[in-house]
Amino acid sequence: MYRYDEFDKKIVFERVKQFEEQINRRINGKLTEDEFKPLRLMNGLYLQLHAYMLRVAIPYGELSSKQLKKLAFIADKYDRGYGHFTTRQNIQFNWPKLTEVPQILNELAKVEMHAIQTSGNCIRNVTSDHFAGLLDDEVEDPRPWCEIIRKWSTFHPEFSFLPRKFKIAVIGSRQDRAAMMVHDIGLRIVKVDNKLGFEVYVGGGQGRTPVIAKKIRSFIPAHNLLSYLEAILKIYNQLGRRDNIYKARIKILLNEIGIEKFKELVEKRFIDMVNKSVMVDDSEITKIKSYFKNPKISDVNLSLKKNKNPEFKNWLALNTLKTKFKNHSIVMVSLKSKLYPPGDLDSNQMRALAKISEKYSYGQIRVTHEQNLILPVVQNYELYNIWKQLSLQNLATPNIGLVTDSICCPGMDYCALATARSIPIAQRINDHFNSFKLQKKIGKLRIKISGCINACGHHHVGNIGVLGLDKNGEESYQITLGGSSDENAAIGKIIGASFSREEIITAIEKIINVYLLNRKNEKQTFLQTLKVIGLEPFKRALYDNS
Amino acid sequence: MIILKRDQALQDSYQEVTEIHEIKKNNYYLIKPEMLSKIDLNLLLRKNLKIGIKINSDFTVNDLRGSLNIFSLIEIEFLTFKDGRPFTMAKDLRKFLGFEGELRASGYILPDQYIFLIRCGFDSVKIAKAEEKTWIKIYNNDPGLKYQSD
Repeated sequence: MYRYDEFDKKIVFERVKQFEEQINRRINGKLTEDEFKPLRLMNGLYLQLHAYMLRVAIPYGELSSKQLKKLAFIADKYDRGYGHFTTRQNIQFNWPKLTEVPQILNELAKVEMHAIQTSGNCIRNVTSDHFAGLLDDEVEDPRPWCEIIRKWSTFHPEFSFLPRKFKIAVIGSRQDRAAMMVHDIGLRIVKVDNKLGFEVYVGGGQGRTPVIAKKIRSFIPAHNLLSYLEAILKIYNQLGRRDNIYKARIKILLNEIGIEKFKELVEKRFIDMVNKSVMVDDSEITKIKSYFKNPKISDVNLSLKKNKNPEFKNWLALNTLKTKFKNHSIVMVSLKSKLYPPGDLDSNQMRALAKISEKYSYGQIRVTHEQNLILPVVQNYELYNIWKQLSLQNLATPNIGLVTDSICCPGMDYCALATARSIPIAQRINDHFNSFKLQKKIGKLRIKISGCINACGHHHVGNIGVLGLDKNGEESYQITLGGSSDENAAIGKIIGASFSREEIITAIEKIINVYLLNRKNEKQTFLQTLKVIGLEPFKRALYDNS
Repeated sequence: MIILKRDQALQDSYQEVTEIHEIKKNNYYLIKPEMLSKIDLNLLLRKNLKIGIKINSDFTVNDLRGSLNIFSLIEIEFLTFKDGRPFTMAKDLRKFLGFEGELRASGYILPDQYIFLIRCGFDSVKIAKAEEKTWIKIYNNDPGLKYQSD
């Protein structure tokens, strides 16, 4: 995994000092809350429904055991003993005290962590494929490129007061495991005529105006990547709307002027900038790549012993995946057990998982945008031992990709923007479909739940999306069907009138029953079935009382 | 108001004018874009005047492309500190339009934006005298750490 150099470390520590000063000025009344807001947001500090919330960056999802132990320490000392992994490879602490935030940031800095780029109208924490560098379907590992973008975008003097937040995702394979198409910029590494470069997508996003990104360039040479990103950001910074927060994202600009016009402006800018702007030189690329060396993979040639334990076998089938490294697998650690809100991990689990990773996965952990964790490289013959130890921590729920592995935002339990609760819906889905046999029968199915139209729970791209609304003071839930965040990304369609809190689980069950009844065979996915039969059978099941 | 250049506080030499007849000789004048069509800038230059222009975040700096050499100062007024357009305007003036005169930021700006302003090409800021200490402290405390080459 990436290691910070001395310069990275200095920047992070300096940032802590700077924020401490800003907090003092706020407390002394020299900064108004309106003035303090963008400054605290630059340090990941939100004001939520009940308290401040600190969002800590886990750039492109990479976490070491040492860092995870530090998160456990922070959870215990400064919060309420747990953290919440978000849908953009960050972790949130929900109860920090304002005056203690500099101490927390200082603790984080000791392990090369920070809260930079996790909020505010800047270029946010770059996200990536959580399997980056582990599978053989990649043109190249996207993580060094994420790091190059992270450095370039961190405290960028020109782009720290953009019209709105700006999100970039980078992938290295055809398969999109990072929801790239719903990012402001999506980058896919490609090779053309043996030259390395990127396909560039722009203007994707969720929120109240969900849009799938459009391709703006089929190939930008790798050396010109940052110049091209700058050209896009310059146009956005100049022309993005600032009169209405809900119309300020780049997707709205694209919608208003059209992709062709936008592309023309960007290309003109890019040509103007050639030789005047940032080039990524070979020595920098080589240096950053060298910081991503894989651990020395063990060459012990042992296989996993046959095991008849049915629970282990279920977990093995669903929560593990072969890597490109001989005799090694990826272990997916589900944070969707029945006992916790989706994405939550308590401090004991953090410490235990850190230990497990030290013993079995070279001290490495990764965070997925689907609010799970992974142990990226473990030896196959150790899988049973790993399963046993994860089970003791309630971290071995065999449900990756299944109906109970839902993405869910914090909703009205925490968030000031939410219009309804989302965590209880995820937990009731988990209760209702808890039978492994039933989940297995249903197969891969993505349910995504947001507590408001801002769509932090990615409901627009859920196969089944659930959006919490406030209807005359009552929580109600609108359902969308057909969304997807993979390489065939699509925005789900609203099925009809919303459902009450009491009705929503039955409604989901009816939808799933229509799918089970109509699928040609077990291999036909929910989305494939929906494509064949359309929305009508689902509508009839939900609304036809005749 | 004072003018701050790095950590040096100065008096503003430029006189803001709204009408042509206010422009006399041997002085520093700050004009507005709407006056451009009404005056012969070259004539003013021959009179040995220093002419600055005050624009705001809404202005398109490319419109100054043909007359940049006339101005000794471009003052960009921030309508609000949240509106980051002047950062790109300054970069464009410096990098792509080749403006070499003084670039000044004014309006609603925060001292916490000072280093970003300088890094984008601003030379000076127009601030309230009462804020001077805070701005200078932020300037002097800046460790100069950055990932980007400006």
